[in-house]
Amino acid sequence: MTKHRELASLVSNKIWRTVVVAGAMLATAPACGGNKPAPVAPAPADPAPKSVEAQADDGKKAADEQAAAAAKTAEDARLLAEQEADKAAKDAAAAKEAADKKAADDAAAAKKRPRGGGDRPTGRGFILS
Amino acid sequence: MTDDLDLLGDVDPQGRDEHYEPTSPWWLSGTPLEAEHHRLMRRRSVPIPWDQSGVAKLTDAERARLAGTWTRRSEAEYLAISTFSVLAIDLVAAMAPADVISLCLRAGIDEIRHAEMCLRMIEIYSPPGAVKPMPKPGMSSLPDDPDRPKLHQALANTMLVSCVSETYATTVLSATRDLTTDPTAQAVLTSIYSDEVMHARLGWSYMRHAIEIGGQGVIDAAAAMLPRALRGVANVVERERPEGAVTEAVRGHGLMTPQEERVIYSTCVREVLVPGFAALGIPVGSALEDYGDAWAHAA
Repeated sequence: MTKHRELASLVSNKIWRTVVVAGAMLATAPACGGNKPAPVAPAPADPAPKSVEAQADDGKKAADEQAAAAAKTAEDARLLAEQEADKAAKDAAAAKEAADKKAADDAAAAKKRPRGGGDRPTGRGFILS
Repeated sequence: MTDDLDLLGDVDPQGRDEHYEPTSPWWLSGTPLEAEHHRLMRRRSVPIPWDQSGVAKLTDAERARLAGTWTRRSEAEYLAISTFSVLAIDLVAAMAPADVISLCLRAGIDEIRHAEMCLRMIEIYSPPGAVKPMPKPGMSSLPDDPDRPKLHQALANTMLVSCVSETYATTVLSATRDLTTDPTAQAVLTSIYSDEVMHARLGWSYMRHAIEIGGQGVIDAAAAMLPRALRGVANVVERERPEGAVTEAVRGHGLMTPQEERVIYSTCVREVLVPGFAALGIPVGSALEDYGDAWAHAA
């Protein structure tokens, strides 16, 4: 049975690489909501032959470390997404303010008489000699 | 892809197999559709040396054990045809990308070929003159909740079918291949395994895509489905097996003991499924405890 556990770990490692890492593109973390992904540490390479107990422990330890690293990276990606969302919101607010000001300026300009007013001379304008 | 090429040798999995022969001709319609069916199956065929089976060296009890196993496998493969068809409906409803839909539908075609090979294997291990085996009737149904978003349903069922079930299938098939020495059984298991790798990748790729477009809602849907998906596979692993001992000769024809399969599944959960879901930000709950050492060694 111990030999079978070795086989199980070797097979699982192969399936991890060829199915999960390849299929889910785990070289980069997923970006929820369309933001840019952050890099994730790849899965560990094939372990060198060890005692059965050590290999089983290594397998579990590696899985635990992978899960912790992946969880941390997922958290980092979420924080990054929040920061970018905040920035996007601020940019949107600034753009709206600028648009509102322009609209107000345009409205004010529209109230002026089409001829005269402003910088242009009023009255008779030019002098007839 | 390197691992795929290694296990298929110099066979191009996308090429035409000039050595193709109808696998289970008694399961065909007897109409002109047969020729088109063979063209379709030939495109992804791995040559099977049907005439090299070592069945003649087995005892009657060993043959019966293997016939029983391939009967179970044929039932599972036949059921998988409708499973992928139902899943394709969910993916279409969710407006999944074209490549996801096409490969899901192709998976259904693959399962037809797998069922054909299983029927041929049943015939090989059955007594001469036995009735030609036919698929056992069975239709798949996947969880259906009309009130939830289509994307969530598609993703949840993809997790069930592909990420969990097919990923486990690749693991157990790979391990089974490694102990198989009979040339015919080895080639059949290799053919099935090469397809299952793609069937499993389909789920992980779609899950990645779905999370990127659907965010936390998709993650929550996946997390809710996970315990159910894991239990579904565990039910299959725990299921009672056909009668007959798993002798060394039987193992050489591609069969491991239920105890060995438990270890395979427990290891798959711990070293493949849980790390994969965790990497995608999906909570895994009590998966490690539920299918840890205690479950692996229960018999």
